[in-house]
Amino acid sequence: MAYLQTEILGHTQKVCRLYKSALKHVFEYAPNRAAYRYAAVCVRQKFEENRHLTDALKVQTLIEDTKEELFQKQHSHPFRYATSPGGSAYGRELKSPDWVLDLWSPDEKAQYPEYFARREEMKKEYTVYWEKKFGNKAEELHHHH
Amino acid sequence: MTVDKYLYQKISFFLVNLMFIAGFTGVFLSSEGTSIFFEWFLGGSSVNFSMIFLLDSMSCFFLAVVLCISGNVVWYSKSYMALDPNANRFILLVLGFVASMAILILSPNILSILLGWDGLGLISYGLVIYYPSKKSSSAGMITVLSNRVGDVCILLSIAWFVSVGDFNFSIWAFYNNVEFSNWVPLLVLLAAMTKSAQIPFSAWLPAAMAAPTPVSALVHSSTLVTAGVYLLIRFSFILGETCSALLLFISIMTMFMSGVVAIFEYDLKKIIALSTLSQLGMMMFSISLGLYELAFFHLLTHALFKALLFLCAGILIHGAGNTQDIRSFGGLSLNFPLVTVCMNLANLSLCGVPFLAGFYSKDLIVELACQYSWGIFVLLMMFICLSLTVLYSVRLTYLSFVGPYGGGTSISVCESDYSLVGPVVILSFTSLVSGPILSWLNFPAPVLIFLPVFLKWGALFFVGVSLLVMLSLQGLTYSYKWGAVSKFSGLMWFLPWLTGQGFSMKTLKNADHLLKIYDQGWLEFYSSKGLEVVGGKVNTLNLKFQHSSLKLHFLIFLLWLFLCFIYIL
Repeated sequence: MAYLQTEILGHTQKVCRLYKSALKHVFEYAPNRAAYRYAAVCVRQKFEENRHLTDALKVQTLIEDTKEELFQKQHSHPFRYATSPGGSAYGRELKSPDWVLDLWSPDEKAQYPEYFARREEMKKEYTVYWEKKFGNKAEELHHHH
Repeated sequence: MTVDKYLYQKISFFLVNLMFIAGFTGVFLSSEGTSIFFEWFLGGSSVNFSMIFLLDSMSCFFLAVVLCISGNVVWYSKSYMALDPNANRFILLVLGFVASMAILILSPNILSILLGWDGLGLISYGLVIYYPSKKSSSAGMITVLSNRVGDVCILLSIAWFVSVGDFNFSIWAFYNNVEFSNWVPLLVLLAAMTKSAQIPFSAWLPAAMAAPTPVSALVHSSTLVTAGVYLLIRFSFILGETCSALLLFISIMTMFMSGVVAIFEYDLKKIIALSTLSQLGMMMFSISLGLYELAFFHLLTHALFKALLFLCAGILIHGAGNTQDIRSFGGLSLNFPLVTVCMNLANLSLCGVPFLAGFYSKDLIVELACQYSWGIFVLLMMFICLSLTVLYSVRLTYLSFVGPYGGGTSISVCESDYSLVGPVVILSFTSLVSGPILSWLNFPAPVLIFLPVFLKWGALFFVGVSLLVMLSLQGLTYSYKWGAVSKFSGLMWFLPWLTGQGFSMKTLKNADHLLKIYDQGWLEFYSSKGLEVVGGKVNTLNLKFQHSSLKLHFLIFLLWLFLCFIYIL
């Protein structure tokens, strides 16, 4: 569903994102830091050259063309930070959500009787607190119908 | 999260003790020129079978190397996996792996080899999916499915071995006159190719680098992947001319592919994995030429310095906050001086620089291959692959240690952690001395080689020239400029696609199509649903007859009268 546009981007945002992906692109290809800095300055220069364009159609075409160029020249090994999505250490520690404990089977729960007894109590207390604060929506709906 | 504070050290100490026992047994058996069979009778009155273990110099030396590496890796894991919440599962898996490997090494029997072989596949899968990320899961799936092909081949070869009447290969090796079907060597070869990641089953090895680094050091570089080579060495007596020729072609292709791909790779661990692939190709190459003992020698030396290489890479990754991309490294020799020394030692050994471990085995293979004159194509490819090894090794060293700073952050406190540095230093020492020692143990008599001068110096010449070329080209840091070649090699010659989506996706889609059209479509309509409707109609008709209807009885009575009337007339 990535092709569906789910947010409205302003022109500035579009150009800024394009600039960022262009910088990332030159970083991936740069053999060292100095070469990257030089390439980054060249990219900046290209963006600065078109800074004062006012023809909306021309600007739109330029953005689309640059996007296409970046796509065509994409690196076979895109750079990812280790803990970012796609990185080597992304998703290593899986933290299961709290509600998973409610899905435990009775024999599994029986292994930790004290914990689950306390948990049930806490859940009741929390329900009372919730209903006190926000009201019992289920009952209200029932009465309404 | 371990129960005992010194659990890792204790396990490591235990494994190292076992290593000494295995090593000295190997030396004893080698000097005596004997082997020992342990036969363990199992079963009861009606079922009778025995578990046999074979102790000979080869199995003992291999076991000693496996135990040496696993002992060091367990010690190393103490610090490396210290913050991991599932470290106990990790250590159990590693021990399970060592046990499976021991069964595989000590088995003179194809059935018990299957036990170790399958154990390796299963535990390796468990280790690859150790981290619960999507990347690990998909890597694990490629690993286990590729290895499954090999498992099936072993099972099929067991079925063929029934015709021979005995599953013990040591007995067949002794009696040379046993005739095998042509399928057996092919199946064994295919099984070895999957485990040792030869083309076209190469994609799983770089993918398996999703496992923790100590696992890569033990499992995916030095021991598990050499199981295929070991199997072929053990079954060397059935490999015919056709299989050897096939293996020669495949091993050269694997060596070349992995060497080229490693030049365009940016993941530190994957580069080392590809270098493993290239060395596995070298071992297979040696086997295809009939140099089994040399393949085994290279297997041992390679295991030691490759484990060292991975442990050093682990320290770099640990220090750089889990980053594996070498573009963010650079100039690390200032932060990690000791690791730099040890990693360079391993890299130079890998290249075959004189008097390091790799030189003794690799140079011997190259010289003997030259002596037997296998044709200019084979020799040329061999020398090119030797040069490629130097190219990717120097590129790795340049980008990580020598080249300019890449922009990443790293902390060098890892170098003061004894449980990280200790195993690295020990393995460095073993990498230095293992070459001559194993050479003396494996080849008590000198191997005589007669070669023209230019061939004798060929290997060293190619290694030296490649070293100089790489240093002058700043470690080929501009390799990305090679257009389509860099894209093609960067994607590993599309082998991951071929192994994963290429075959599986098409078959899965076809299967889905068939499911929808036949299983859930016409077959459902005509067979199950159709039978139900027809059966229902027959049943309704039958029910009408079952009713005690007066009209029906009267109708049947009239029918009978009519029939009787016809009969009388």
